Amino acid sequence: MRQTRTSRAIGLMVVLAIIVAACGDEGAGTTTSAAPAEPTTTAPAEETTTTAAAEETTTSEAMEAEPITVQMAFRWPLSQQYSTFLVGVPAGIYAEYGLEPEFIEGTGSATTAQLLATGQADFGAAVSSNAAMGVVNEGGELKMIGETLPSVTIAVLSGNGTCIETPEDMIGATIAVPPGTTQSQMFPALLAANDIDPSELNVVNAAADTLVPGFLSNQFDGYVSYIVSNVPLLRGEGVEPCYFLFSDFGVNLSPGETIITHQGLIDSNPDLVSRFVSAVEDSHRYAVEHPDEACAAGVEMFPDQMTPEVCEQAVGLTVDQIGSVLADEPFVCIDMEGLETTIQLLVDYAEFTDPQAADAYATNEFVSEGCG
Amino acid sequence: MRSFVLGLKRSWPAVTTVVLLVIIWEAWVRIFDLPTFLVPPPSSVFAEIWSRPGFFWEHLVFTATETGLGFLLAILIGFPLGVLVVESKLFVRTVYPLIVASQAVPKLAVAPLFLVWFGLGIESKVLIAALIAFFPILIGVVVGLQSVDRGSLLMSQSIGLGRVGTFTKIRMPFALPSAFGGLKVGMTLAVVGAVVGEFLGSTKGLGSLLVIAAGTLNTPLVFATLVVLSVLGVVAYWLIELIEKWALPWHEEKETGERQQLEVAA
Repeated sequence: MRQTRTSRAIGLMVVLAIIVAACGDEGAGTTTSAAPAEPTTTAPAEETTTTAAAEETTTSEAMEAEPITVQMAFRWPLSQQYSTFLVGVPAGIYAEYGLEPEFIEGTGSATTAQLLATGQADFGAAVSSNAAMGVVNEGGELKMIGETLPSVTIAVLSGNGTCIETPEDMIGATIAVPPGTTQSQMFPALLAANDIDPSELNVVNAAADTLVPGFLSNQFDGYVSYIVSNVPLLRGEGVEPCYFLFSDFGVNLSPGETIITHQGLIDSNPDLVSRFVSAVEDSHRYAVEHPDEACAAGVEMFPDQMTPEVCEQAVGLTVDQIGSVLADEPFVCIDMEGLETTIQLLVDYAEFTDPQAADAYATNEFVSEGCG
Repeated sequence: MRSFVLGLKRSWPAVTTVVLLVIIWEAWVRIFDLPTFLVPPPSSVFAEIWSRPGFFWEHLVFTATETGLGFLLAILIGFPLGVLVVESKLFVRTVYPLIVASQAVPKLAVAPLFLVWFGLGIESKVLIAALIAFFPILIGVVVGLQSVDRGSLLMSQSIGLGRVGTFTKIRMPFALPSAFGGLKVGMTLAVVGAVVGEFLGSTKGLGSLLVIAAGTLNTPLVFATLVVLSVLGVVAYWLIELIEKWALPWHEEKETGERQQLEVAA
């Protein structure tokens, strides 16, 4: 009996040891880390790169020192819409500012905001939404430090036999909305802004990754999503989409896509934050001036996720969106008045509670050339 | 009444453990001032449920309906297939390997296709629940049928029972305890399947509620929904146990007797 018990105990310890060994290196969370395929520095990472918060350097010193690795969490899985960020790597823009970005995929602004708030990434991309600003209200010390799109490019897309080009065209139609997203929160605002009774159309919930296949198989007449990623996808499937932007019909969430970071990094390394904002702006400008290079960069770095044809359209749509502010120098300045309007929209339609002033959520102090 | 009291007596350690864990959780959150968007205190979770029980009930009923229908469908698929595995060598050589291989496919990858093929209504959720739940039921039936006492089989031959008679009077009764084991696992997986289906597209249901709560960073609502989901899973499991006790009273008596013998020996 004693020998059996001893054997069982030993066996259990072996099993536990195997489990601990197998699980020991796995990180938490649902995001994946995607480092650029061609890093801009050839030095071994563990010898020369440092964490973003650990070292404070001035911009001139940065150009002399080894690049600092910074983690940037996107809002969604890697796709062509992020080519404007990615092109900065092969173009050497991030390196000029002493940075080596590591890109992380996301699953929505809420997840990105949580990643930032828990220090699992240095910077993130998020829309000015209930989720992202809600983290601030709950004590998460985040700040929007620059914008990369002046307004959210949420639209109602259609076209597979039914062309919906205005809110009134939705009456009698079935529209799919991804639940728990900025799109679903702002859809009631769109209806209210255009005096449409919700009972006049059929709204169904569908997860984001089922929207395009569901639409193409005629499960619904239209769906709510972002044009930059979806228009090229639909064209790739042989459908010429019709769409109308929320921002053209009274629901303008501004700023659109923003760069966010956490207060800990702002306090420990404000110069790094400033450099990152400048690098992102320069990368976007470069993408606008060299769209082919932007697509080539994205496709080369992530060939499984990006195709040249889809990328060209996505970059084109992004250029259209930021074209209106490109003349501004710099263009990453956050429109604080627009943000105040957005906060009120979220209060009215997205159950956003305890709203604070715009400067509690955003700042332009890290735009190196200053904002007007 | 007696068995109810006995049941209560047996469950007090589990209840006490849960209460202790809740107290520790509440203290931990308050002492370390953890932000709600990371971990809400259990008091806010229960307040969320208490403040609108009808709201949670409505979603619970929706998910429970999908679960029940999916589970029934899983039984209709799993049971006959399990019998075929035991009774048909051809089936074992042809179809069974494909069934086993299909279990390695993550259902989350297949579920979006179900939504596209069968639509956003309840049908796709029922099918996803059945797809996830049928395999443990199948295995339970197979193991049960294969573990029939050889002596009993020989006896049935000697008294001329025939194949059908042997199956209904000998094999199935022997197989039922194991089959019920498969049913218990299948029931809890049917809950998972229904929720997975709702993740991908539903206007109601606990899965849909989870997606909305997570997307809007309403962590108390996330946890509250998980609590309600857990209750659904536990109740569903107990339901199967109850049916097992009614269907197999001799099995329950045998297990109780063996347990008592072990306690005496110890």
